[in-house]
Amino acid sequence: MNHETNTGVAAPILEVLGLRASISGKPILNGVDLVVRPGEVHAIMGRNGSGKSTLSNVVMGHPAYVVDGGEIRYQGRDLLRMDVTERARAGIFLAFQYPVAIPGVGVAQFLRSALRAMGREVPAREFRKQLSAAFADLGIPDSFATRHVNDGFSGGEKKRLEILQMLLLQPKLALLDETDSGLDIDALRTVAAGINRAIAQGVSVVLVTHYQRILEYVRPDHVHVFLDGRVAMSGGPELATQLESRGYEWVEADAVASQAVSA
Amino acid sequence: MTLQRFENEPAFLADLRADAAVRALDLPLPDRATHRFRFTEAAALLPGGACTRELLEAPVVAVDASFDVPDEAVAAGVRVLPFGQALASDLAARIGESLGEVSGMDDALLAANLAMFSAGAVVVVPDGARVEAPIVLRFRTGDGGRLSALRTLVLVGAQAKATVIEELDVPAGFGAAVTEVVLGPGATATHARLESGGPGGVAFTRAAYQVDRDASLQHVHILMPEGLVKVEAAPVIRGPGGRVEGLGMAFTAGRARADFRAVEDHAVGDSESRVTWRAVAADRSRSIFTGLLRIAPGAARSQAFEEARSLLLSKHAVAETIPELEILNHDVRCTHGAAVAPVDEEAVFFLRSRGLTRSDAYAMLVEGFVEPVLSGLPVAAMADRVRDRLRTALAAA
Ligand SMILES: Nc1ncnc2c1ncn2[C@@H]1O[C@H](COP(=O)(O)OP(=O)(O)OP(=O)(O)O)[C@@H](O)[C@H]1O
Ligand SMILES: [Mg+2]
Repeated sequence: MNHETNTGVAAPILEVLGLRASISGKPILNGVDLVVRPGEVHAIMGRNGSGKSTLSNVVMGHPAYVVDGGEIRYQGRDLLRMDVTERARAGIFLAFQYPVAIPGVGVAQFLRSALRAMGREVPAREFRKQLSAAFADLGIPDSFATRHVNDGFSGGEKKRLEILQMLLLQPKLALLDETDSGLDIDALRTVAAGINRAIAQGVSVVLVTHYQRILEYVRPDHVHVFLDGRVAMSGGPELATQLESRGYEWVEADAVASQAVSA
Repeated sequence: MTLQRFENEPAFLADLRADAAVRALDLPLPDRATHRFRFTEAAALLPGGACTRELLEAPVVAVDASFDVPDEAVAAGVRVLPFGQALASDLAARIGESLGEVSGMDDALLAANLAMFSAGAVVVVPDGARVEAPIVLRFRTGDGGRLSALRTLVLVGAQAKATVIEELDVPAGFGAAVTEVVLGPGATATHARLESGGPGGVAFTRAAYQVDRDASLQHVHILMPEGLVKVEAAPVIRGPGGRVEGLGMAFTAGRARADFRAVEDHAVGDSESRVTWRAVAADRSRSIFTGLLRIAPGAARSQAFEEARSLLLSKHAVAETIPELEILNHDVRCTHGAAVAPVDEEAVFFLRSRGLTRSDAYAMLVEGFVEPVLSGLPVAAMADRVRDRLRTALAAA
């Protein structure tokens, strides 16, 4: 019998174990460990270039990254054996740090295709109702239905649309890569409310952010600090506040110290 | 030489054919040194690779033709007839005035077409007749090794309005189709050509247009060959206030080749032309666009715009996208843009992360890429046909 079930701790939805990955022959992830249990919210912070987006991309299955070692398990399955489409259909969602424009493809058309791809085809009328409600929730004007996906959108509009996609596609695990960056105060609240709605529905969240501010709206269960392609420090919500005042040198010094101890 | 192809051809046609035949045999077949044929030499477009007496005298090759003429057009007095019947009708004199005048017979291919065409259509839209529903002319060439030569003449009267769609299918062998369209003063016309064909099909087509004062032409070319097509669109704006919109795309896969050339000729000023082209090339196919904007010395205040983009779906596919300018007046506005790019793999990743399969992601990106053309097509059914073809081809890939 499963030990974890016995103790009442749910089996992880995502397990990243000793993950190493590179791009164009350049190692970026140097042994990432991260365990996310169903319904948990994990925040990942860390310097520019420390590998946060790389981790999100590798979990989603971006073909440009090469996994050099370690493993990723999703609901107990070997994620590395699944392609991007399979991962999406199994319930993994990535909100892109830099959402991609799809010229010539209308937002409504795109969303309907995505729903269909997920096996959730809805009649046209119902879809329009759903979409209109989702637009309203995220403060997106209805006129966006016929605009081309992310084409000429402002930074904030793109981020709202990412969250709208998450809410519509109803994933089990959402990787939100700096979805809070570049948002004005109102947009931040709207987007945070969207994320909280997903969390309330049981979605597990990995939230990559540079700012303590979003964490005032979306309460993380765990906070991790990335350093040179690894999780250098983990803690509770208080870690985000400490980081804000003490900066990343503190984490760096601490990491060096703990390495010295373990050596 | 026996050049007659229809029963009781009028004398003017016999003379025209005889002249054309002499030119077809005398003029050298343009090779790649000729600018217009630098990507596809003329010899590739003829059976046996040469323009010979046997070719010109070859027996008629059957062409399946069917026309859709909307009631609205009939009621407005529009005439749509197979070419042979039109020659035998009261329209003969009008045909005589225009046939060969718009497209010319400056090279052996055009001359050969005039000398030997044996099928086609004549469309006459009377002055002031305004018809919204499209007139559709479908042609399908027969017989493997030989050349089917077609000719279409469209006369759109002053202040008249019409849409003529020509569908040409060359399943195998050789097809050549020359269309001449004359727009009277103030006329509004769309001429669209949809070309398809089998892997063994070779087609040469040319659509030449004459645009009178205040007339407005839309020319549309959709090329979806599996073999080889060389296609030309050549409008000449002859009256001030004339406007031309050229819209088109090519989709090629396998080893198909599409070579499209547009020449927007501003013979007079106060005129406008705008060309939008999209090419999508998959597998080992080749897609060529050359677009010449020509502004005559006296054509002041002309405006000419051209935008051509090509999308490569495979690293073995090739696209040439080449704008050309011949601007002989300074008081004009011209812009042109050309680009060739592979599929944006970040976009593919983005779409796949939303659950789409790789081929669905490609299909969506390709449809988005050609959207500026599809959204401008005169009838929605044409866009649907293009989408169907794209989806089938991309699903198979
Ligand atoms: N295609 C690539 N070729 C080479 N290096 C790359 C490539 N893509 C990313 N990198 C490098 O990988 C490192 C990690 O990048 P990543 O985007 O994961 O950082 P990040 O932690 O998300 O940073 P930020 O906070 O700025 O978003 C960076 O040094 C980046 O330059
Ligand atoms: Mg990043």
